[in-house]
Amino acid sequence: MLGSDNHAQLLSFASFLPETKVATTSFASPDDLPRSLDFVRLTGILAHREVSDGEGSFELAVGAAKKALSRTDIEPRDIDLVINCSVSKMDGKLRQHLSPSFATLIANELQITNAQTFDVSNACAGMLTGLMIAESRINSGQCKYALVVSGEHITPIIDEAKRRNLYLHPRAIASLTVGDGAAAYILGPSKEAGRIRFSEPFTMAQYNRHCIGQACKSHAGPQMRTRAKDLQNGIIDNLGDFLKRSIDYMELKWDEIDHTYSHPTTPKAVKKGAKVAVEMMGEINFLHNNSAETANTASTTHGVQLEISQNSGYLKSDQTALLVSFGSGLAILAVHFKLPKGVENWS
Amino acid sequence: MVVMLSWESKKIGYTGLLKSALKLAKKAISNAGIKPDEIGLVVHGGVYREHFRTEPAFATHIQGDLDIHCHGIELDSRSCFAFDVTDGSCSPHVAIQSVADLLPALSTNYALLCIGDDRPTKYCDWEHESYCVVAVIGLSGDGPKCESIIHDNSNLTPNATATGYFDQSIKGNKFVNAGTVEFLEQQSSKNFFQGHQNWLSGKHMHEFLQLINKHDDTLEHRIVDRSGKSTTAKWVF
Repeated sequence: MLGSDNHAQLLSFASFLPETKVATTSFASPDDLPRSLDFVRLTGILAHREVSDGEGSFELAVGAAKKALSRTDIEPRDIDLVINCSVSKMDGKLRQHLSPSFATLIANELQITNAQTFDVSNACAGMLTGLMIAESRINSGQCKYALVVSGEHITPIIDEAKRRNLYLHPRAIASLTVGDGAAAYILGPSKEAGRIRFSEPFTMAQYNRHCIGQACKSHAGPQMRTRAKDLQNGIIDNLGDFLKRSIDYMELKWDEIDHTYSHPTTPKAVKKGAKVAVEMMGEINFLHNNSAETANTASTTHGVQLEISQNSGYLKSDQTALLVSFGSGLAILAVHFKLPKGVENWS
Repeated sequence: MVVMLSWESKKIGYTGLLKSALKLAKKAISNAGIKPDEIGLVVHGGVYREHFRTEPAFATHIQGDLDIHCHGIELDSRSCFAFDVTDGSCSPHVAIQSVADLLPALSTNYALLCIGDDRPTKYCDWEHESYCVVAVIGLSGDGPKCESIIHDNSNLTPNATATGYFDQSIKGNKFVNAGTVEFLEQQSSKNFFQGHQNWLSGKHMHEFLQLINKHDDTLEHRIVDRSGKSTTAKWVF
């Protein structure tokens, strides 16, 4: 996307997590799982967040969007594109929003009155897909400020998995790795080219039946069935070449990337991926693998991790970050951006 | 923006969107005079999916079943990307616009567009006629050119929603339309077409495509969603 007269940049990001924290051992102890599986050791997930009564994807998304907006000097009326990327769109009563787009309702709640609003659905890669569309709109001059937002209320799939005999339904075990959370990004125009760059996006559709999320047929709420090991192998087998191609395509130098984030299906999986990345590309300056207490929050994971890094004081203005995203399908894409100016001062 | 190089559409039953999409896609790709592996982007637009599926994107199933660049990444392999968009019955225009947004940045000249819905479960009341529409979209070439797409949310009724839920009394998943809507009827004039407000995405596009051959200048196609929001695409022939 370099070379056009207009350029885009990330103005802010934010995540919003529900307050209730649930320890992994409270629902996935070795006694609960087939072959006395030590789930915490296997995944590295210690806990996740869950919504309270009255909260769902919508409330989480609105919380993240408000926070992201408060970190800019943009008024809601200035936003002219809102893209929602939630997979779940699930309310506190386990009802799934279908139409009109969730983005329309989020914009309405935030009094964003002048924006085009629609949803992108690309599983856990949804937010990066949405960011790619938003960046393109800004580059082409069709849009000035964009809000890309997602709220994920997905922990009901934990309850669904727990209702199953996991010996008989091993593909439900991956459902125990999720958490609720939300993220939002604000994009705006920039005079500087290259503040945000995208890799070539890939969908390795040979894996499109390896992770299926849909309504549970016997109870209220969703279910997910995952061939986790095969899916992880699909990522690991292709990650090296993907990174090599992406870094060349984005005209970057690997050793100049300050912060790296992967989609954290589990902290253990991120470590495996990092090993492949180091073998192919060299040492990673700073791998942020901090989802142990938030788990896999689907499309919102990168935003959640960025927020944790910001709160820890790791992020500085104009440093660079690479987000690598994987989503059921199997979608793989990456974005590289310069961190927003003033990021170290955000409250 | 983009050019619709070829298109196919047909009425489908309660389910079977994927099967129809694959059949129509093969015809549309052939009619466009290209090979499937020249497609680098697949975008689906619609609202209702079988069993209220949320992931993966429906478009990944089209890409996978057409076997378009889905077997791994190598340093010099070609790529294809697939995802879905949704915005009620305005989904077709959002999908076309998304193709127009991304196609220039990808190392491909062609995208496959699929529009349509499946009845989610047998428990769902389904008063709609379902259509599947597939088109090959390019940045240039012979065919109707989508020059612009504008949106209008000013007539939005936020409580006119559709929501999926589990009906405990029948132990099955259904959806419910909330809010009361006085539907706008179909409107048509020389250079303007607007379908009935209660149509689904597929029917909006199917009926629009029936008019294409009768035009040699411009045609504005407006879709008004049940929620009141609308999109208008300007096509030049």
